[in-house]
Amino acid sequence: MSLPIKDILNITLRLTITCLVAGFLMGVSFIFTNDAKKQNAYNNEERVSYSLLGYSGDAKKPENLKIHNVYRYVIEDDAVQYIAYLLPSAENEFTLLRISLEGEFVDQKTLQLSPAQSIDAPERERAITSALAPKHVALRYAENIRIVTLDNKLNAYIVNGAYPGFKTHINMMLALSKDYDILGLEILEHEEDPGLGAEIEQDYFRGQFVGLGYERLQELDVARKPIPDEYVKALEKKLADDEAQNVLAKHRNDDIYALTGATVSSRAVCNGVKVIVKRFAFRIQILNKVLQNQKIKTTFSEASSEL
Amino acid sequence: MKKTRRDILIVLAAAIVIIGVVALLMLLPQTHKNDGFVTHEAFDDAHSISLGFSKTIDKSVAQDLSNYVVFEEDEPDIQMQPQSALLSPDAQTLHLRFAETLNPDLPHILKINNLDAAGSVTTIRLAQSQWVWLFSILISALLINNFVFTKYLGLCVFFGTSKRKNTATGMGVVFTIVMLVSAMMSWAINEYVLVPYHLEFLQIVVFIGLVSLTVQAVDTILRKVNPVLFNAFGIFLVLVIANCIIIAVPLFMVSSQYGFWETFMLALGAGGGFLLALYLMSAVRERLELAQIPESFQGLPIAFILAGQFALAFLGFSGLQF
Amino acid sequence: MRNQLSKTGLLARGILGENPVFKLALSMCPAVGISTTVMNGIMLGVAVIFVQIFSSLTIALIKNLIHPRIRIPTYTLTIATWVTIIDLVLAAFFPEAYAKMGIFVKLIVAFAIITMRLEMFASKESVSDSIFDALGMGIGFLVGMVAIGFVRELLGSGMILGHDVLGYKPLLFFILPCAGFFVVGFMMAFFNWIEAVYRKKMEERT
Repeated sequence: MSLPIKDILNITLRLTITCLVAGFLMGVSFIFTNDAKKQNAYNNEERVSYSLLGYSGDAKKPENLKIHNVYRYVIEDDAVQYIAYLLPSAENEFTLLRISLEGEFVDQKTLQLSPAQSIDAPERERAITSALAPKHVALRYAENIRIVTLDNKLNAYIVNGAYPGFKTHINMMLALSKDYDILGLEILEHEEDPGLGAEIEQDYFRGQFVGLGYERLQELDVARKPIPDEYVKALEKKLADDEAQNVLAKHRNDDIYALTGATVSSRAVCNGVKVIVKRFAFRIQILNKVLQNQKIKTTFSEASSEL
Repeated sequence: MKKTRRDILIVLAAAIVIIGVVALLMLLPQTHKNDGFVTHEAFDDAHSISLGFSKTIDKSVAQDLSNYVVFEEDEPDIQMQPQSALLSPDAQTLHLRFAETLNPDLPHILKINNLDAAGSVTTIRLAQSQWVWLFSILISALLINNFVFTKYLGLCVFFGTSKRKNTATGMGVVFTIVMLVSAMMSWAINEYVLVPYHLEFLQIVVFIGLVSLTVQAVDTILRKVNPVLFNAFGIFLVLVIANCIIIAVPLFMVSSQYGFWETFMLALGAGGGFLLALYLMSAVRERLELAQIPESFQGLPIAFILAGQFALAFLGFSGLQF
Repeated sequence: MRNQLSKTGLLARGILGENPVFKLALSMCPAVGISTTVMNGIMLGVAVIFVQIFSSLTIALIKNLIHPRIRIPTYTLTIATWVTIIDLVLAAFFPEAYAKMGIFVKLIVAFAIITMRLEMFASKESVSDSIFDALGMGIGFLVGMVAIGFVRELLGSGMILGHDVLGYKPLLFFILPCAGFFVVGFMMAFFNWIEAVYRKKMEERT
């Protein structure tokens, strides 16, 4: 069993060298891939946003369509909580706006952040904490709201949200019109069972939400009966345009048809959409009121009068 | 020889149970204490909350709905007020009803003005107790998300060691112990070294290294301290490292951002779940030896089909909630 | 002891004679877990081929520098390094594929098949032979995954590689998670049966 000391030294030396080389290799590939990962994740979300607005494949996005990223945080400062919005105000410049829980303006600060820095969560947080210094604050990222403008006019909102599904959270992305009607729904991440709950990704399920108005959404329910064949065909775009329009119009006031064997997942998406839209509508009205009253300049200022 | 082996198994199983109970007892003082005179707070259902107090409260205050505000801990700006507040005749229990649907699984904050004294604010945190949460992690890893039958991990070792009940229990117990030790070390290294220094990309290497280290350490210690035990269990130690559950658990811990006790329960559940799966499977496979199986199905094919039937049965646990 | 097989023989052995999925029954977890579609099988198969080739290459290159007592730790470290690199690259450049494969990319590190090839082949043979052996085993794994994925995708959702070929869904059961066990079990039995029939024929002929 016992080894001569020379051998032990030899083994240790070799193991150390192996570990160093391995660590070096992994470190190098981490540095090379990290930035690309962040950029690709951001690009992917932007691509999904555009496709929700109907600009994917052949439909090219118009030149003047712009997406303005607004980040919402919950800040705790001396045991008092605030809602903070990071709003783009100019190139390389963001405004940090603090609003009290009751919806009143608290203060605003200007931060310098380049576009590349602004998509990197740690960079954003560093900028916010240094702007609020020297006070000690606790910061919690809440969500990313995308405000879409076309020719400087408000076009749509893109909102993200999560809701507990059958297994874990279902992450979704919604496109809303300025009256909070649903323009599109995309399921980003979920762990529902393949063949059952995972069908929430399918066009014929997601499509049932498109076109629902804000008022209708509040009383929307899940119907536990089979979905009509013609409706599925229309939602999967397998019918001719005018026929599809007729079928869609006919089923416009139907509840959401639950997926076979996956009522829980269907209901989770339905409730999730309801909650996300309701909360978003509530918050964006407060944000808009504050923006108007304080005359805060943002890159979407011209559009914000219509928010 | 057979008898000693069974005794050893019983001792080891008892040790695991004792560790688990002690762990839970240590948690007892940590349960959340609310503001002074509130003795009981809970969701009755998704629309109502009930509260109990140690002294009688003023009816006019209790029935003024503007005194109440409820919000989810993570969404402090979405504030809700109850639709009605019902005070019991003895003025010590209060039922609040809400028009909105609340989610009892998420922690909520309830603030009541003027309840204790004029001008005071009583803050009550409504959350699942930590006990229930930890227990649900254990049951989830053991049954609902059983690593073998619903996550399909550790199959090579699973099919290799489930031919006899003795080997199955031996493997399961050894695996559980190594799992617990390595998962706790993984948690510590991840929490205090990898995350603070942004070295998350080293997770795979570090976790597999810790598993090898634990296996080696248990091997050496057992060999010196208790050669009888080593003879019984030594062979399984080598197999532990080829089991992907042992590396999946720390990875799962990282992605769910678990704390110390949560990791402990996850590792215990994963190990216990593996033991359970092995035991069930070996019980059936021992009987299979007496059955007439078509030649092409003998051995692994029939074992796979069996496992499929177990997996179907375990599907019944999904959706189990507390 | 030099290896007797030619380069094509090495390739064929991995794909047919010692297919890691159906013959050796190693690395079964992904074969059951994520083989619901052909595409999943191809993606994980490619990841495994990369890890296997690079690990075999590394070990074959440094085999004379490895101290015999730390053989296994060195293999583990090598595999873990390559898995980390593949994991980082996939997460950065193929986020959608990466999300589908989930935890299984990281779990390649615990695949018995890779360690086995390093111990039995790469640590003894020449660099070029090791690469072909690794390629053979990797492709064997890919073929196994694709075969299972083919059956499950066709019978479960009536599609192949996402294209609707049947126009209807024959048996939803096959796409359910637990069906992986049944499909693997029946396919193994099927291959055993073919082998038995073939052997019988050979015996009759002689």
